[in-house]
Amino acid sequence: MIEPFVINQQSSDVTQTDTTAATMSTWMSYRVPKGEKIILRPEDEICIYAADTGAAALDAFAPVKVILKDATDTEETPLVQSIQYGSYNGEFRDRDKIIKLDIAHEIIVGEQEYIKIQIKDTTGADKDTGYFEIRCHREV
Amino acid sequence: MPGLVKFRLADTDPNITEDSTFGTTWRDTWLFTCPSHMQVILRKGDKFSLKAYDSGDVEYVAPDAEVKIEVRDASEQKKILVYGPANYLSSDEFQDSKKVALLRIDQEIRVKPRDKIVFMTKDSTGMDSASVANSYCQLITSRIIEVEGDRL
Repeated sequence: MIEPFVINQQSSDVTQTDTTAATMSTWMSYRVPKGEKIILRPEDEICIYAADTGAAALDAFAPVKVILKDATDTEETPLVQSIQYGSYNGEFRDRDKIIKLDIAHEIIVGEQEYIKIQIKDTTGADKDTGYFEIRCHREV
Repeated sequence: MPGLVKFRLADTDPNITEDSTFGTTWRDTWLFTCPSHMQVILRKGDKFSLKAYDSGDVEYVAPDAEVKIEVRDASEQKKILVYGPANYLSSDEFQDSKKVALLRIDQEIRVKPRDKIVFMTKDSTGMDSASVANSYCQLITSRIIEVEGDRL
């Protein structure tokens, strides 16, 4: 059965980490549970709000990228190319402003594969105050 | 579809039961039981809005508060997720059509008599019966009403 699904910071298979200052590093990692698949479509939306570890707003120019990694966490596929955080800017409602995935066709993310959000911020992005949504579908 | 009419399902609907138990885990905040002689037809693009307050009368905020909607059969054994689990702020717009949350189901879902639509919330502080009463939700969808002699 395929149902609409939202991956967010509270999802049980999400790991969030403070990113390393001035280094592109993983802020959020979602690992697809066994027995499930995530279905990503070009019209799927991704929303991000992030603050730095000093409780200040993330730099608007901070590069953010969203990637798919295989089950061995090696092979990488871009889902959203590296763009400034200012393009996300904590927008969760206005459909004219929300970022959509940079994929040309449907992608199936298999069990134990990863979807990751990586950020490079001057100070480092904080794992506890930030939140996000990847609006997709899953097959269970 | 003949007989299909717009249906604005709000928390004030007589077929909705409000949660009255305090909790910080997923709660069935509003449970709608489809009455006889009617089916609710959920479709992609149906609009959903919710305002929720915790037991301290503080509006829900991210990153702690989440919202989801399930459709369950009469026995509540079979469950279908039709919205979420989303951050609360994704669902709190009632007016601006560009910002109102939409159902993203692929195919229409028929909610038959005795089936349920459940609006669920979760928050680290939690809701009590008083804060449920101060909270509200709305799902703009469609329904078919059975006319005597016809079968849905």
